[in-house]
Amino acid sequence: MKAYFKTVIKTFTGHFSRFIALVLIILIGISFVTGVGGITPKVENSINEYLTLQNVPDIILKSKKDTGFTSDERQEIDDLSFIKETEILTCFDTKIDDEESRIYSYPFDSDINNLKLLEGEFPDSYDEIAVEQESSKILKRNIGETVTYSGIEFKITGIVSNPLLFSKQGEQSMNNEDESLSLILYLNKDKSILPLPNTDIYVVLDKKKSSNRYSKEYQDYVSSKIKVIQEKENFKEENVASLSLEENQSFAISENVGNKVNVIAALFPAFFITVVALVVLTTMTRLIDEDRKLIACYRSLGYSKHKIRLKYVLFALISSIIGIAGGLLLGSYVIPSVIYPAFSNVFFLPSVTSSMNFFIGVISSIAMFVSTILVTVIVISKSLTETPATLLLPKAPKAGKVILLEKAGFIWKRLKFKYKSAIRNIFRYKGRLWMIVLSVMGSTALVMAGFGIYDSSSSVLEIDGIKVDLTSTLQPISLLVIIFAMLLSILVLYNLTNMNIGEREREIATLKVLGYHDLEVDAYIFREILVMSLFGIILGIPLGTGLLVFIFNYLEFGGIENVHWYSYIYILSFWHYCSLPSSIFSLFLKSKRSI
Amino acid sequence: MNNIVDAFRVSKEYGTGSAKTLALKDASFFIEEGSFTVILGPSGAGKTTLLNLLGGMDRLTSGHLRVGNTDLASLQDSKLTDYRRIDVGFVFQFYNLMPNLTAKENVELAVEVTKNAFDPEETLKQVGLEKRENFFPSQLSGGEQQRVSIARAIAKNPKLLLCDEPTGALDYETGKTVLKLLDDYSKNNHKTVIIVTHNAAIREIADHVIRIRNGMIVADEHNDNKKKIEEISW
Repeated sequence: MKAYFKTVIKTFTGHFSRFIALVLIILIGISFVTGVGGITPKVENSINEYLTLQNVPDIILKSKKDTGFTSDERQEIDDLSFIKETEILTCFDTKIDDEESRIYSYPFDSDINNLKLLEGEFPDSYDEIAVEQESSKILKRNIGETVTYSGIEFKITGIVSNPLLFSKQGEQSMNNEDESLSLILYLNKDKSILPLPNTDIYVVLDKKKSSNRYSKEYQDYVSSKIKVIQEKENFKEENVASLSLEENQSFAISENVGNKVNVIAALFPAFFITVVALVVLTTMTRLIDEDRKLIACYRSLGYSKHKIRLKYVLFALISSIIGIAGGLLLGSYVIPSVIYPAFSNVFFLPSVTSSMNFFIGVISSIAMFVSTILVTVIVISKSLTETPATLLLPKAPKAGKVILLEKAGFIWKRLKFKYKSAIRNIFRYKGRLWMIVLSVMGSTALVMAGFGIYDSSSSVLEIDGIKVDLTSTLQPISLLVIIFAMLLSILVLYNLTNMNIGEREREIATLKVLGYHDLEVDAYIFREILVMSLFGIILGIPLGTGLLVFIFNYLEFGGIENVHWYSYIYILSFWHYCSLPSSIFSLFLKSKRSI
Repeated sequence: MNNIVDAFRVSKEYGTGSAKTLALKDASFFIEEGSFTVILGPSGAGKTTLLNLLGGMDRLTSGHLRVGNTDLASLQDSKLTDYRRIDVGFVFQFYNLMPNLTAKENVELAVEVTKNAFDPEETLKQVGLEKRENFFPSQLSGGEQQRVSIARAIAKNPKLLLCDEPTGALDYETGKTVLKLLDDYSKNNHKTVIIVTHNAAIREIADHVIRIRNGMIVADEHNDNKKKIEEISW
C-alpha cells in the first residue's frame, strides 16, 4: 500500500507541468463561467434587496381623472385581502422654467417607497422641497437653491434618492415620451398648501419575503392581482392605469440589460466548457499513453484493474477539484469586482452588494467534474482491456501514409521536402488534428465575439437609454471575454505543443542525431502546430461571425459591419502572441532533454 | 595508414554526487582510416557511451578525442551538430526511421543537410531496396528497415559510420546480410566502419577489435586472418 501510494504521488510530480496546465485550464473555464454567469443574478439580487429594503410598491395605481383618488377609493383597495399596505400621494409632470419636471407631493413619514436622504434634510415647511440626485439627464441642484412653481419660491433643503429611479439614464416625461425629466422635486404632503389631487395610490401586496421581483412567479402574481383590482368599478382601465414594476423605466432597463448579459453568460460558458473538455480528453489520453509501461508493470505484478484505474481517476479528481475550487473563488470574488462597476455606470447600485449567485458556476462545475472523471475512466478502461503482454510493448508509432494531396502530383512534387513531412504529419494524427483545430476554432470564435461586441458597443451612438446602458455594461464583459479566451488559448497551445513534442521524442532525437540544428528541429515541430492552428483560425472566423450575428440579433444592437477591419488583424496577431509564450515554454522544457 | 580516430585517456562520468557513475575510464586507442572495427563488450561495459562520444552525441568529461581534424573535446554545441551532420553516419539497433517518411524520403532527410552526399536513389539501389523506395517504414521488414537506415547513414558520405548493435533486432540470416553490407561498404569505398556489439562472433570479421569491460579497454588487437561473413556463425 505504501509503494502504491508513492506511485500515486509520482503521478503528480512526474507529470507536474501537465497537472498545472490541467488545473489552470479548468480554473479559467470555471472562473469565467462563474463570474459572468453569476453577475446578472448578483446585480438583480442587489437591486431586489434594495427595493425590498426601501419597500417599493408592487403596484402603482394612477388616476386618469383630474380629481384623482378619493379616500373611499383608497379604502376600497385597503379592504382587499391580498393588500398589505397602501399610500396615497401626488405625482405629475409639468414644465418649470421650460424644463421637463416632475412634482411629488410626498408623505415622507410613510413606510412605502422610502426615499433615501443623501444630503441635507427632508422639507418641513410648505416652501421647502427635496430634489432627486443628479444623473445623466437630471441636472445637479444644490441645497439652498430655489425653484419657483405656481408663484411660490421653494427652497431646496435636501437631495434624495428615489428607489424607483435607480437607473442613471433618467426618466421619460409622462407628457412627452421624447423628453427626459431634468428636475424631480418632492414637496412635503403634510405641509403643502397647493391644492393637489391624489393622483397615485402605492400598493404593497402581501407576499413572501423572499420573493424576487425579477422572477416570473412574482410578475405573474402581480398581474393576477392587477386583474382583480381592475374588476372593481372605480378601477376600470378607462379610469385608472395600474402599473407594475415592469412599467417602471429603471426596472425595465435593468431587466433588459440583465437578460442580454445572461444570453452572453449562457453562450460563452458553453464554448468554454467544450474547449476545456476537449483539452482534458487529450491530456488524459496522452498521460495514460505515457504511463503505458507502468500500467503493464502493475498488471504483471497482479494489481487489480480497479486499483490502477483509481490512480488516474485520483489525478483527474484532484486536478479538477483544485481547478474548480480556484475557479469558483476567482469567479465569485475577482471577476465580479471587474464587472460590477460596469453595472454601477448604469445603475445606482447599493454599495452593500448581495452575495454571489453560484447557480451557473455550480452547474458548470458539476458538468466539468463529471466530464473530467468520465473521460479519464473511459480512457484508462480502454487501456486496461489490453493484455499485460501487449501493454509491455511500446505503442507502435502511427504509420505514415500517402495522403490525398500526394495524388495531385504536380503540387506535391513542387513542395519542399520538409513541408511534405509536415503535411503528412498533420494528417497522420487525425485525432490530434481535430483536437487542435476544434479548440483553436472555439477560442478564435470566442476572441472574435469579444472583439465584435467591443467594437459594436463603442460604435453605438444613439441616445437610447437601453442601448447606452447595454453598451457600457457590455464593454468590460467583452474585454473579459477577450482576456479569458486568450488565456485559454495560451494554455491549449502550450498543452498541445508539449504533447506533440512528447509523442515524437524519438523522431526529434533522430533529427538531432542526423545533425539537424535546434532551430531546424523546432521548425519541424512548430510548422505543424502552426498549420493546424491556422486551419482552426480559418474555420474559427466564420464560426465567430455566426456567433456574433446570433449575439447581435439577440441583443438587438450592433452588427457584423461594426467590427473594425483591424480587429481581424488583432485576432490573427493575437494567435501569434498566444503561440509565442506557449512555444517558448515548451521549448524551454524540451531543451532540458538531450538526445 | 592514417589514424582517423585518436583517443587519449577518454573518460565519461554521469550524474553528480553520490549518484556519480564512471561509464568510461581512461580509454586510449587509435582507429585506422578505412578499417572495419568492432567494439566488443558485455552490457553496461561502456560501449554505447564510447560510440556516443565518437558520434558527437555526448561530451567527454576528460581526455582528448580527435576524429579526422576535429577535436571533439573542445567543440561548441553548434559545431558538434555540424560534425554529426557532415562527418558521421549512425545505424541503430532499432533503426530510428521517421515513420511518416518513405524509405527514399528518410534518406533525403539526411542528405538534405549535408555536403558531398550521394544520390538517395542510387544509395537505396546499393542496399538492394530500389523497389521499396516509396514504402513507409511500417510497410518494410526489420531487415529492410535496417537497410534503409544504413542507406541513410552512408548516403551522407560520412568519414565515420557508427553502428550500435546493428544486428541486435534482426534474425540470424538477416543480421548476416546487414553485416555483409557494412563490410562491403567499408572495403569497396575504403570507409571506416565502427560497430558496437556484445556478439563475440562478429569480432572474427573485423580488422580491428577493441574489447571493453567495466568502462575500461581490456584488449586492443588487430585481426590478421580476418574471416569472411559466410564463415562465421553464432
